[in-house]
Amino acid sequence: MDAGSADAPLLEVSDLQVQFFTRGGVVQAVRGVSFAVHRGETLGLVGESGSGKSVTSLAILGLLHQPGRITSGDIRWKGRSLVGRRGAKEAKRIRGRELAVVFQDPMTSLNPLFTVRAQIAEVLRHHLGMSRHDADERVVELLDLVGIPAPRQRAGAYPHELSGGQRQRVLIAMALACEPELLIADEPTTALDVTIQAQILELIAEIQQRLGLAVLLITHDLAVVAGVCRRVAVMYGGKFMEVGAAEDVFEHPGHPYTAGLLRSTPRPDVVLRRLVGIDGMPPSLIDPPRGCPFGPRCQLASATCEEMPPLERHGERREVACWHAFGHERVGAGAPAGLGR
Amino acid sequence: MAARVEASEVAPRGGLLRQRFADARASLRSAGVELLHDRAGLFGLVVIVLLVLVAVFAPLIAPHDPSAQSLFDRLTPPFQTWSYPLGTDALGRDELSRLIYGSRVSLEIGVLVVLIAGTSGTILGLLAGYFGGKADTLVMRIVDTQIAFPGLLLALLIIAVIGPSLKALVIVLSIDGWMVYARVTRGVTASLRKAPYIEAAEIVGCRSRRVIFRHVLPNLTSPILTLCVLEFARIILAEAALSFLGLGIQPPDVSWGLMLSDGADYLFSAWWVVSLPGIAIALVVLGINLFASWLRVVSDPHQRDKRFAGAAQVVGPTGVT
Amino acid sequence: MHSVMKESEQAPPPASAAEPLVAVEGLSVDYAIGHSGFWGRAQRTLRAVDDVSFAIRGGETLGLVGESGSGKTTTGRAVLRKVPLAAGRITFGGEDITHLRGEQLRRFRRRMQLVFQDPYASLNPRMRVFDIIAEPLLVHGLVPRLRSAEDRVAELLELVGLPPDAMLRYPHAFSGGQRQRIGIARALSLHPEFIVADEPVSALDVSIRAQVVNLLQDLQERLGLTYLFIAHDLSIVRHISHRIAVMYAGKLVEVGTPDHIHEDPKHPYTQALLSAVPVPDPRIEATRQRIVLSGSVPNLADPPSGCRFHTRCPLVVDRCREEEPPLTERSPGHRAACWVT
Repeated sequence: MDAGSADAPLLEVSDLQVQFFTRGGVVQAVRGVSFAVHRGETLGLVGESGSGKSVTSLAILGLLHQPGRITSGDIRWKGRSLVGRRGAKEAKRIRGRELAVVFQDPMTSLNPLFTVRAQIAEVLRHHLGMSRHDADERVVELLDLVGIPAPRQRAGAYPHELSGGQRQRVLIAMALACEPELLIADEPTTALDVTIQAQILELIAEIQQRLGLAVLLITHDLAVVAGVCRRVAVMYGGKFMEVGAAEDVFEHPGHPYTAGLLRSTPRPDVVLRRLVGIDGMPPSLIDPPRGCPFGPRCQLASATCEEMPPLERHGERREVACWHAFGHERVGAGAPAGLGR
Repeated sequence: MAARVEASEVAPRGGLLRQRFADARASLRSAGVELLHDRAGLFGLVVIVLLVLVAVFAPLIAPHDPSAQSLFDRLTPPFQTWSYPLGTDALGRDELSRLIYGSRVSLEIGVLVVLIAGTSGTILGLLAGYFGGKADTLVMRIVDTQIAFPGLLLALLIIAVIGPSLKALVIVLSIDGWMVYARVTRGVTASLRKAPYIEAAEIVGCRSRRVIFRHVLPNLTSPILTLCVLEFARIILAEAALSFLGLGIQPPDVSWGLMLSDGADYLFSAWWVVSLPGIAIALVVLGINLFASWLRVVSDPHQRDKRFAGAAQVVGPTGVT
Repeated sequence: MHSVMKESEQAPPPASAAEPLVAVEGLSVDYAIGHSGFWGRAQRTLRAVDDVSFAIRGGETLGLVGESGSGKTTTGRAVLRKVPLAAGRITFGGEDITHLRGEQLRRFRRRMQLVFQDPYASLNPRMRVFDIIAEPLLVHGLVPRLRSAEDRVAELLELVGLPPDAMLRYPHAFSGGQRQRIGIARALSLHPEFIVADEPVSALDVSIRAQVVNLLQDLQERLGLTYLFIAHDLSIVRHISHRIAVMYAGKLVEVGTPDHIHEDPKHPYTQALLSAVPVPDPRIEATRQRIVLSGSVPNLADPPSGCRFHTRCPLVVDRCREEEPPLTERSPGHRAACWVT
């Protein structure tokens, strides 16, 4: 674990379960997920669509609405619960202030009717009670922090006058306004071009280091995690498949899904004759099967996989939920997974 | 030959047709079940059905001829005698019968205007939204211009020329009512226009007519249907207002609006002459609005799920402390 | 009840190596922006594609790469004659199709089709899969009645790896990857020679992308198809393309084989693009030297003078601001538009 973690965690999620009550059935979006984020820590939550990663972040932020509901488990911020009626009040208090978020689509996350200055200042005045003058000064500081050129002039711009990358920077500035302790970035670069994505990721990494911020980065792109996060958790079918230090996980993935995901992520420096993916499809979460959710697509699956494997420790910094953890390395299934140095 | 037989076995000739019927029945059934659970919507539907039945079977239900006068029995209060259950008006005409026959007018005008204004407005809106450009600009400017023109003034002008009657009312209300359909249709069509599947239909080679009727129109039924139901209510109110002003239905015909105007002078002496038609109008309009409300939720899958989830909340507040 | 169509799977006679199937010369496309006046006349135009030329031989794939604002999507639509041309010529199979209209154009559509980016929005949610795939056949009079198309639809579904009974269901019953297959089946129903694939896998999960890309490659081999593969992901484009063209701000900046582009990129934008792609390896990410471009894509309503990339180019010199560089040959088959490199 990295810096400043001897003390209690900032965010603690315990056995979180989220369900969506639709006419088509009950969708079990998150099925018992537990993790913690400490001060200054960077955790990447990786998963494809239907894995439950975005739902998890919405649940943490208290932004889960009907037909979705937290049906069991707890979420604690500095020891205080964010779940339930009292929890909702606490969530409202810390949201935007101690716990900040940046969402995926910068095009629709800003109010087109107000200037950039007005929107950032709103956060400052609501949470910190700043005067208009002080807020405006702080806005210029923040815009400079996130790398917007000529911040004093740009503060008066309207969202439509800014590019996608600039809007995302503004959103990051808004998130950092009250000097939060944890930043949740939910697919912050998915809607952006590759060259802009590089800029924004670099910005997030830089700010994280400079302010000692904890970051929970949610993404479907493993490569994005590699540049920003020290720890990574891989999610599939509403559960964690693997958690560990990013370097270790990328080099020696323990779970076959992680290995498959790494193999599927195309790299500009590796040329394959044929692209490799993972056959099959993610499971339906309405009445999901009892066993390991990845079983039906897994090359190493056996009869034991009908029973859900628990997250087990493998070595000091790794947890894997698989009866055949690291099995693909021994078997040598398909193209080399990870980096296998 | 063998391969072909196999393909036919897996996807039997009748399979598609059967599937289409099955789906249609299933969706109607599920909508019906939801309606039963929504008391407001159910009330609305009941009101509408009652209105239709009463209007259609008026000659069989009404105890008297609505224009039969009986000066001896004038201004009889309601709930006094069996022969005039809801009382009589200033000319001794039976209120109940007049209410019953008045519903005919409301229904007739409502249906006719919705049909005429709805069809023309929807077609114009479709053309404007689909073809865009000059067609769109032209239609929308006409809409804007006509909306700006006060409806009452228009009514006065037209009726001054052709004289008040049911036909005149239908004409006036249709001319004044098509714009909203055009706007709504045009809006939905314009946004659908950009949908990839519409573009796909064009690239595949569909002609405009097919794209409009096969791809765009089915997606319009839900908002248009809701609009029609709401407009129906508005037309009833509009007719009442115009007839009240003497611009619409003329005696010896009867309409609720006319009944209101007849009773205006007796507001304090014979309250029922005004109140009964007023209550009838209010109830019908309320029922229609409630039904339209339910219809709107049911047509939107997102809203439908939200409501469903709210109902399913049996468990109390969750969380561990 | 025999099918009215010719037997399937017979590849159309391959175009001769000398004459390309699709040739585009000096293609330019304008968009109208801004409206005013009571009658809403367009005020200004924006040139989204400026003087683009390329040729694609039969059976070949040209990968068209660029970010947002590059004009790649518009180019794809223009080649299909879906948007009006401001200038230029399009030749298909030797015939000039630039000015085809009405019925003639409609009939020409049989030879070229499009696969869309968004699997969720490119299939009419109210139509069954059967109707979606059979519609092209019906519209071009290739089947007397819709019901006679059942065999052909079953064939097409099998070709893309879906079971025949899929035709009975609606799109929402399928996953993103499956829907994309349905879209491909629809595009194939008319036996086209040429397919424009507009970011066909961008909206899909990473592990599913390989499935669809491999399917497209297989279909190309089996049916002798020619592709214009539009994408922003360089790694995927590398796999499927025989040649790659890079676009920036409406102009072609570099053209070459995948090896040229990836191993020896000449244009600074191509270099930056390659450098911006994140690599799923934390050690590499931590130490790599990135070319991170500042700023963003210029506003094409008022494009920069000279080379359009000069505002962001790390190698800019005076000449770049004044004169626009032409595409010059660097090595056989490899062209780039830059004064400096």
